[in-house]
Amino acid sequence: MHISEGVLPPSLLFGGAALGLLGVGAGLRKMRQIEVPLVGLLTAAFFVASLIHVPLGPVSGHLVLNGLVGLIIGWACFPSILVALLLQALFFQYGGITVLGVNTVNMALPALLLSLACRPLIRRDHRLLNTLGAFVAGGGAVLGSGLMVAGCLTLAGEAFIPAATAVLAAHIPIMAIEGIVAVFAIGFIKRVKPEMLRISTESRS
Amino acid sequence: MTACLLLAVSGAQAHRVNVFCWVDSEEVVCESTFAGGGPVKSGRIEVRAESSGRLLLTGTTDAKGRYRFLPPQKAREEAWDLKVTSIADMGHKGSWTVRGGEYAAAKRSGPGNGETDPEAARSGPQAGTQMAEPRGTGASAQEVEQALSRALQEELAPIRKSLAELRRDRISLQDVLGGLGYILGLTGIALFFAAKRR
Repeated sequence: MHISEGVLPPSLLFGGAALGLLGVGAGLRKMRQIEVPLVGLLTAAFFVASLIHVPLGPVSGHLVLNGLVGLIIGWACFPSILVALLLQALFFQYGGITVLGVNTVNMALPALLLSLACRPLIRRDHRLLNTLGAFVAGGGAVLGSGLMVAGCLTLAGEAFIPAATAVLAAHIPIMAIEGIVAVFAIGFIKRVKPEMLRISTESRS
Repeated sequence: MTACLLLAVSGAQAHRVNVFCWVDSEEVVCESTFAGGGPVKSGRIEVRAESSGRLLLTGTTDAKGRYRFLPPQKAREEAWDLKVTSIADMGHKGSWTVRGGEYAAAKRSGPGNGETDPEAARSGPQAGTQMAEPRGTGASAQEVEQALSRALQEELAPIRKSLAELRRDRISLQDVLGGLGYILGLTGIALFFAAKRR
């Protein structure tokens, strides 16, 4: 999911950085004091998730967790994912500094959109709808990010279909796992600390 | 169909491409691996002159992630630094620089001329040096030198391997804890500013 340095043309890097900056600004503006620790916690989760490798048959990928982050903290997923990606680039050499903007947008934008779409389902007091919402947001964010990565590679000159099939085929099991992780996480939060979801879902828009 | 897709991308999911190159007689052998283990199978390899950025050679890695090439005549004569870039799918790539001194100084051993041959590359680093038949007694100085360099190549192979292993960066606990520490600190800073804003 992390695009490496030197793969994309400068125009794309600047575009990504500008878009990322807008998202981060909006996320910071919307973040209230009470949410800050939660954002920090999910940033840490996202940062570490990439170290959890999931070997499944011939494919072994790692968790991304952007869907879950978006679902819980909404707009704040932009600054959160930016920080986590920056630290991953510095400590693990995943991705890189110049591609930070593009990678942030690739991972945060689908997560945000799905979170806006799925939150109403999660807020409802209905077990099945909750599960559905969490699964779609958790798995769908990985799918969306995969498509965006493929899109970026296409703009960089690769053919879309092979790039997309490679990215998506690698992430099919991850999508399923992330969906399930999100279902359990949201189910647990709703049972144990439902105000955690209320905090962020009621944040001023 | 899906199975084919899955097979086609096997091992290609980790994030970072590590490249390690060593000199085997006059040839350069490059091994590309993904962080976390698997070889970069049929990845694209580009060899460029580091100073001018001119593309000298391209190729594909074999099933072991190896690519073996003979630097061009001019590069050998002038001991150019070569930048080897390995490009895997999904926008992952990595590179390694082979210093000119490393391969230009290596004396050519064995009669085989090292045309880049993917078949030969598959059988490991020793395959490049061909075994010459021992030719009775009274070996000339040249023959002794050849035998010596061949023996050295074989002796050094395991060391090169462990060197390559060492170069393959693994993520350490310190990295992870350091990152978490930064996140904690940033959260603190954010809280500070959020509190001030009130």
